[in-house]
Amino acid sequence: MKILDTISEMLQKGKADEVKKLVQQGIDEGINAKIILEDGMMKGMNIIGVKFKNNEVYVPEVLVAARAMNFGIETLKPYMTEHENIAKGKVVLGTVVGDLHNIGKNLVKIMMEGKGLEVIDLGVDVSSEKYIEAIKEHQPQIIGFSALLTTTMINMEKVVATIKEAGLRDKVKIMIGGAPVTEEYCKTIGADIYCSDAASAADAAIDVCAN
Amino acid sequence: MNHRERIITVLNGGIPDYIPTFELVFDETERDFEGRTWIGGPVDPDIEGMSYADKIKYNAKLYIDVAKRFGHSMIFVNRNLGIHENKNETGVRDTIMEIRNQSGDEYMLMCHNDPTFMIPFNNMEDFCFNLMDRPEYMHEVARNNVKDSKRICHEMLEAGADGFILCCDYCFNSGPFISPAQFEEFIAPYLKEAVKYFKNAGAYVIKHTDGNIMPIIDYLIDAEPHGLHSLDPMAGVDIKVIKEKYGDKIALCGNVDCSLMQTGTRDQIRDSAEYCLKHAKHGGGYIFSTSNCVFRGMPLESYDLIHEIWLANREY
Repeated sequence: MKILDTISEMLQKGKADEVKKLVQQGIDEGINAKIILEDGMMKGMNIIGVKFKNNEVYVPEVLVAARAMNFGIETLKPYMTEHENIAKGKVVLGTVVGDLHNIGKNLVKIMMEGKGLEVIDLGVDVSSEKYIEAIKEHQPQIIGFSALLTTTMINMEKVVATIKEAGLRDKVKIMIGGAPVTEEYCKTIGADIYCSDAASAADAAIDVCAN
Repeated sequence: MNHRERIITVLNGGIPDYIPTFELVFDETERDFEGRTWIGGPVDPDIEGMSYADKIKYNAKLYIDVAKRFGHSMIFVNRNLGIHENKNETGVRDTIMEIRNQSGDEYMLMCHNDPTFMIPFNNMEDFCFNLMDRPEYMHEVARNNVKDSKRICHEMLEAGADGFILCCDYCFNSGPFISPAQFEEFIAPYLKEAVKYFKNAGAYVIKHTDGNIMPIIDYLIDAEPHGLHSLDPMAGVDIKVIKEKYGDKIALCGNVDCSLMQTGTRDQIRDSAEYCLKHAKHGGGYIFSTSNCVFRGMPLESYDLIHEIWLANREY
């Protein structure tokens, strides 16, 4: 349907008001809300994710696209049934204890939500105990921590150890990322998934939740 | 040739007696400096009852002692007194004056003064929305920032600074935080204007940014600072490539891998330091340093190792 392509296109351009209007128009024309979400908005967000990964678009374009998506979702919400609201999976995210940076983590959240995952954001400077509580409370498939600083990256190992000690290691996949983090470091500390960018993190999360 | 002359030679593209070294920030001070830490730094010392003048003297002496201990030719006054400084006090300016009092013209003295937009760690959404929705407003902000930096330039030069290290970070490991086109519009012209103004005022200018600078490096070179720091290998910046392509246009600083200094083996750290010296030494125009700074928590054994490698390989 042409209107879905237009929604996708406007979302990629960050045109929030247009997305809102088009979503309402789609509803008024009788298009199913889930189809508008998946074949219009999420399709657009996925394209933005791929372009971001390839350095074809940058953080500002991603953020305005996410803003447009949020506008569209707000319009769509009253028309979604409970069944249609079911997320494709659940992820808990946070910046590791000692680190106050949240840009990378926020981008991962945007990309994951753009793929239909439910994301619980614990914020920055998240202690091991908070991660443990969140795993117990939300029972996510994935728990993710990021760090911008080399000095705080080393706290990831402590979080992994605490999750093991709490007997929760086989309940979640552990995903890590951030500027100083490497695949090698991921293996060293016993985490499961390293991702070098936000779009890859969202792709990897979808793979985990699908299996 | 004293330390200051050595740095000036390098920043002017010449070959000094040996490769100079410095660090943008050196926060691991307890081991080698009788337990002293920076006033206003990550770990405040006990300064109960200390006067403002004495606080300035304390930090100034620590800057000089760090430089002496590790053979640094340039001191970057990276901080004021933080919570220990009142609104009417001017910690950076006074620290510069005090370092000059204590050490004369021995060291190259630099401080912050970057008017350009950087990665907005605390308000990324607002910044990006303004950039996309209100470009004229953002240009106005940029113009005002440059205006302020011109005033600061004169204040700091009069206090005794030799110039500025422009520390606004533009890049992540993957590349710039805004597109090259946005960089060209919102940052490059203001960077160029500021650098030109500072140089005309007699200042030396080094541009610092973390991350993968390759998509925007031509804009950085075009602004014509004397030097470029930190050449971040974690983001894939290769000093050999930069030296070959831009070595005749700009002095290079850094590239010794900070990440390896935190988590790598001694062999990996050695390889990184030797690689920098091997590929950036020839023809002058290189200042040896880490790819960021000696941050809190970095094992000092790693810094000792690259210091030894520098001592063994620094002579021309």
